[in-house]
Amino acid sequence: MKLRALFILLFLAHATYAQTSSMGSSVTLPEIALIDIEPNNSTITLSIDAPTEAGLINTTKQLASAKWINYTSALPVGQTRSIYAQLSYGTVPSGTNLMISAGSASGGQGTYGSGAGSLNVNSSPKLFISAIGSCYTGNGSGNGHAVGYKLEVTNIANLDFNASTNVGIMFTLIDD
Amino acid sequence: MRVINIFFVFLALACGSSLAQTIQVTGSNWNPVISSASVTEAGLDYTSGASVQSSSSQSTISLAPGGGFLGYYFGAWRVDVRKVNTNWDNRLKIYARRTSNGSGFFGGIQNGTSYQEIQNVDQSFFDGSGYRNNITIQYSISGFSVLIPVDTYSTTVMYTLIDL
Repeated sequence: MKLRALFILLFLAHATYAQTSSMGSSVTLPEIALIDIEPNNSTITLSIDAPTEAGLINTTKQLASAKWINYTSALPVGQTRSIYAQLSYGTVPSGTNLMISAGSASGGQGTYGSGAGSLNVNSSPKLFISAIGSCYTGNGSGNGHAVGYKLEVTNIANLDFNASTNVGIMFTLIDD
Repeated sequence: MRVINIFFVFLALACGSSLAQTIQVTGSNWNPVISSASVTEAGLDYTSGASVQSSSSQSTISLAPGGGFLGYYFGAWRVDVRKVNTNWDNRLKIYARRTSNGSGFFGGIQNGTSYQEIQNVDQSFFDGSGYRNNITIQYSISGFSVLIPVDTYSTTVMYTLIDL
């Protein structure tokens, strides 16, 4: 009888067990480097106004926020990118400089780059925006960095009143 | 009387260790690589809600509750799920869902058919009774952002079978 009771207890005994098994997973996030000119890459015109007073001359023509640079940058920890600017075609008229500058970025999130100040753009690539981390600037005009353009007379003697030329400016986003 | 005693001996043995509790997860690891083309426009992040999904049978779970013969066929159980991170960013979310009932002779299976986020602590995933083979599991990962440093993020999904 005692033996049967023991078996019954064994039968009724309820123990909570736990066994574990597993599966591994990883996800790889890629590097991303995208740059865009907004609202479009149409031509802008810088024309130095004729003076209205004898003996004077206008020496600059400026367009602020004529274009906007948007970018998306995804990077590993500790790495940065920069944007360089250079003339991709054409020649700035004799006696003038074409200056460009980048404003502070806004509109998105992350580690934006910093504008390198006003620079004289020519056929050599020059640092335009530096220290870009992982970020996105937002899309369209009003997002990212406003680009200012200024045509300035540097040597009046070399000016040709009828000089008109098209130049292309190329912005390149590259890893540091 | 002797016959009855023998019956109880067999019953006790059947309820003992001869049919131990088991859970086995099979299938390959899931290691998606997100395409850089997922971001289509400069200035934008990944689309909100962007995700990748594994095959609908990325993992297959076979389990049997403890409790011997009766437990094997009728024992109630629950499967909990959690993750153990190797290198993980909390902005990334991994989800799992059950995509089939598997097979078993008696018993059944409930819950777990909707994606649920896998946390760092055990959470109830699905439950049922009796042994069950080839329960298929699908995974999804979301939460991508260019603000998350470029890297490979790894975790291990742990399933725990609990006899109820």
